[in-house]
Amino acid sequence: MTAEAFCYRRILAAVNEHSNSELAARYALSLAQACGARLSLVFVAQDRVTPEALHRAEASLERLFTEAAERSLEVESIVQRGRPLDRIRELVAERGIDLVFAATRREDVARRYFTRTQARELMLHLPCSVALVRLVHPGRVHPRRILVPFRGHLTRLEERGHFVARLAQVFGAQVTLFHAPRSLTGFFHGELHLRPAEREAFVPEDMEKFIRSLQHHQVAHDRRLGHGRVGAAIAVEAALRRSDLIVMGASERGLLRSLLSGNPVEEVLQESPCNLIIFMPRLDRS
Amino acid sequence: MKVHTLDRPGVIRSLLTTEEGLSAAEANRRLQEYGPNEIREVRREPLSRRFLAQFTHFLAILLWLAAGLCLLSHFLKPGEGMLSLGVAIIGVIIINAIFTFFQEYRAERAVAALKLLLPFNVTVTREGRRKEIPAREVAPGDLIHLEEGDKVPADARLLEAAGLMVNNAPLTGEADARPRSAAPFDGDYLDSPNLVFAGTLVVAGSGTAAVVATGMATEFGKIAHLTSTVAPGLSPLQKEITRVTRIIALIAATTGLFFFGLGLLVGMSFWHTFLFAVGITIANVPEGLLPTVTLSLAMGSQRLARRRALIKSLTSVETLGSVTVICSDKTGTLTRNRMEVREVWLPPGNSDGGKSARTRLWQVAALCNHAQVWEGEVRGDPTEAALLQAALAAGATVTGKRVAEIPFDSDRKRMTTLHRVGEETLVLTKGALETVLPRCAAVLCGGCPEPLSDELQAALQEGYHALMDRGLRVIAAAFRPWAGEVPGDHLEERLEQDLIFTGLIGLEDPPRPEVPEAVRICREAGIRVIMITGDAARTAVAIAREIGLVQGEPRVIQGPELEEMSEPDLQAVLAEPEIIFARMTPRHKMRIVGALKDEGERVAVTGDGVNDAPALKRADMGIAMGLAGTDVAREAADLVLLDDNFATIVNAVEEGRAIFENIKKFMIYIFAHGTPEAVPYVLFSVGLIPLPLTVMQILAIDLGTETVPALALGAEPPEPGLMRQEPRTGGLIDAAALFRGYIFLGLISTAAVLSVYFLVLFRGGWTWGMSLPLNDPLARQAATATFLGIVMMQVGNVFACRSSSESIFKLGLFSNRLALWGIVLELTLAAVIIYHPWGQRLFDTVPLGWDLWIILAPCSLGLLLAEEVRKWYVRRCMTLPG
Repeated sequence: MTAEAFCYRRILAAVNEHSNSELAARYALSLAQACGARLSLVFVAQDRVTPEALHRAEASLERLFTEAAERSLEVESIVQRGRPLDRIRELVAERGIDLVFAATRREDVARRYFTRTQARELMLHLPCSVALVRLVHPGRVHPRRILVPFRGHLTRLEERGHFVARLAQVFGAQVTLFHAPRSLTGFFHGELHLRPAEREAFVPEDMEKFIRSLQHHQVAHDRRLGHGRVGAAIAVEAALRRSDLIVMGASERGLLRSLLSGNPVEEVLQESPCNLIIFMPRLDRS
Repeated sequence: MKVHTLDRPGVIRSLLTTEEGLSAAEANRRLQEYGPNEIREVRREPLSRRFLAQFTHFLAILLWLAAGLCLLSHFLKPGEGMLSLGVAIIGVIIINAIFTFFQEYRAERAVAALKLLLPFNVTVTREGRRKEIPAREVAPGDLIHLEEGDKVPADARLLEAAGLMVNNAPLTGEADARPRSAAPFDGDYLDSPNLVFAGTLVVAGSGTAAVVATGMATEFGKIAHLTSTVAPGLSPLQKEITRVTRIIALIAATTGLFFFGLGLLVGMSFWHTFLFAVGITIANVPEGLLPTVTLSLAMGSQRLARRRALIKSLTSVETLGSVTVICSDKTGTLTRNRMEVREVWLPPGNSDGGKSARTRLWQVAALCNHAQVWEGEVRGDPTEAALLQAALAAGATVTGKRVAEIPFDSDRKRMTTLHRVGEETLVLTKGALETVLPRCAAVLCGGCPEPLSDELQAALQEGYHALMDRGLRVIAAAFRPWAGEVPGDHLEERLEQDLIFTGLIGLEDPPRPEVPEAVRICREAGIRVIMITGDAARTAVAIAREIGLVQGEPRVIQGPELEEMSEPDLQAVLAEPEIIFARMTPRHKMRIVGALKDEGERVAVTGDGVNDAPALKRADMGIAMGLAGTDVAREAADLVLLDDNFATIVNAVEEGRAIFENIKKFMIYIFAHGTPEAVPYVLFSVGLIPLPLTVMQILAIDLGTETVPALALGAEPPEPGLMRQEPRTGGLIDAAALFRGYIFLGLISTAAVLSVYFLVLFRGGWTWGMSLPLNDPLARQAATATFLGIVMMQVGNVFACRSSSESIFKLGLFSNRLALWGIVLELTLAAVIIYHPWGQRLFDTVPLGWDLWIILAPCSLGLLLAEEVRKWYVRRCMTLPG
């Protein structure tokens, strides 16, 4: 498939009464503009929603709608009642949505492994690609430096590359691909020190493919290798390089493995020094 | 939608706030969403888990296994003393865990110090009303009000600013205040003058700003983030101890298993074989190693304190000795941080000997200045104080009424005042030549202003470079008479025009007198010293030459060049022999330190500012300045220099190297008793001799009698020539150390120990092949003799291990008084164990005749003499050509 095949045609941004969801939806708005995608702004009011919350969410929808219209986007605003996952899933099916943006909340992040959170439900159960936004810095929603942590093997590499490249393009951002290989240890020497040249051997092959995708979109990029615990290494790199946004893949670790050897996605979510998008690609054009 | 590029309505809109500020309810919601506006420590492994880890490492698991087997044995066959052995082993595990935990544990106080830089209260506008709230309740979108003296509580975009000046020192390290304005800015976010950052200080003016980020998302929070997340990993000593314990554990386990198999093979009972295997394992495990190392490091840290270096984590004491690179600040560390005027350059054509130009120059220096004379002493910024001091010495007019001022800031790099001096009103300007000269229309030559011709420009540049090449900081001075009224606004445009260039003043921050020698020692010791300074390149190079840091043409990297440099390029530059980093900001430091560490260097770095903290944490050895340093830097560092002096670092390195050598010495000392503990066991197994040493007696040696003499070896002063060796590449133990400890010294001890053991047995009527039960008085007497033999041989060993190659007679038998006290204590403890009823009951000993002491004393001396012969041979080999 060509890179264009991964261009999103319909993007949904889930908005609620919290200000961070409106700010997070601006990423969706920008990406929709970059892809020429139709944008659906959605608020699903749960049964217990207060009139005040409803009012705030509608005001958010209105502001976003106006902004999208000003940018000449094809946009619609939807308010529904019910369980957010169910309603959004229906909308995804009805409208052929390719990508859903939703904001994670601080209380979601505080829960271990995201259990029983709407964010996790959306990530697990929607049939399309999902981008969960963790917003920590409202003043830097327009990123200049995007950090993309890279693990060993990535599924759906083309779509990931496309997602990052389009984001970088629309914001004019520089992309830094970052890989922190697992530490090597020896029985007698403990953790072995690898020089940068030696670490090159551990660069995942997929990274080259990803770089080609960025080159295709003429996105400025560089590559960095770190070391140590993956979650901490990513957070340090982001703080050190003053990244504005981290885009990382959703965790594919099961609960048991997360319990035993930690979960880098969860660690970064909890300690991210900048805004963060957890991306789960599921685009299927076949 | 970059917040710093937007106009006021755009800012309000993008942050989803209003001109009346947030409502209380919305502020509360945002607080829930973004968290309180506070600096916190990044979540790390819980303390409890870190403590538990001390019970689950390789050596501990081995000991747990041994203890478990002992307890199982006691359960299956009570009354064999295995219960006490099991309990003793568990005690050893607990002691080791506690020692190691406290050695590695360090309370995170750097983040606490960072917290103090945020204000407690802040004025905000909420729902259109001004109110004071605790700073931790500030949320993104809040409108905050700032006035002179306020600390900025969060990162915020200015909506209004009136003469607002902010000191960004905690973020940038620059001491000068910067003007702020509310106008949109198109450049980089961090350079934007319409942003104020958490932790910085308002030094003048006032303003209103909309909060864009709070807590850990602020730039200040990033420093805290890096400070609490970045860790250098295990120190070289910790790595070495891990390696050593694993090697020893492997030796112990292999030996235990080997003899267990051998015992079964030769037909010994399972029980005896098992007892033997456990005993031999215990004999080989250095239970006292970790406590001894810790105490030795503690003593080292006390010695360092006497040398004006305060160590903050014990393992860092030794880390110092292993550093291969020292990244040092210039000002205050290599130099005195006391500016002195060294030279004055006046424009050509001063036929009066430059008198009129000189008078004018000193007038500018004295009046365009904030330094003051206070109780006969000039006080103020070092540069300004030096200028005033020199002007006073030159007899300059220092009285005049200041009627206006354009303050210095690091962007303008100049300062201007309007003064009334007698009848005349003068504009007086001083600053960097590159910013003063473009404002000049004439040059004061021979008392008269002459137009600034190309010729004069060239002469001026030549004079400027001549001063720079001498390592001087150059200040340009200019003036103009002012005839009009005092302007109310646009001071910069109106006053700083058509100035008359007066001259250049060269100031020097002289190197500390002891630094050239310290740099020479570093060179001999194979330690690279890299200067990282905020000063100009020429000044840095000149000082580097003066102190002997560079000899050829060094590679000089300046801040902007480093910014553009890729990692491989930086690695390549760092491989060059002589390198200086000039015009650096503290945030560059961490990158340089990281690149050096990536290349496998062990790096010490100095720092004093708040944002030096991450680099101090990242380095193997963070060194903070005790006098000039901030609390944050001091808390983040491993070592605090009480005198800010580079030479103190070098002294500390020597001390660190000595400590490593001393640990090596007592490792060999400990190895040397392993053989006489193990060999009799082997004979017990294959030769059917009675049990030669109980496990409790082994523990009495390892954790009791050995401890103080081993510690005394840790108190040995540095040996001559230590700083003429390259930084160490080898570990604590190697084949030579194992041979010297286990084989050479160990076998001599074993021979002596077995001699007294058999002497006791044969005198008691024992014959080969005769079996003696454990509780037989003769067996107990022989075991006690073995115990005494090991203790006595270790007395000679203390002296033998004080140096690996130097004769004890050259070092002086009595030069280590702690060793003498250690021996006294060792022998006293042994006597208590042998002769006191409590000792006898606990360690299963019986009283021995004094004749054994008399027999063992010359044996101990013999070991010392044998070691002297070995040392003589080593010295001879070292002095032989090739």
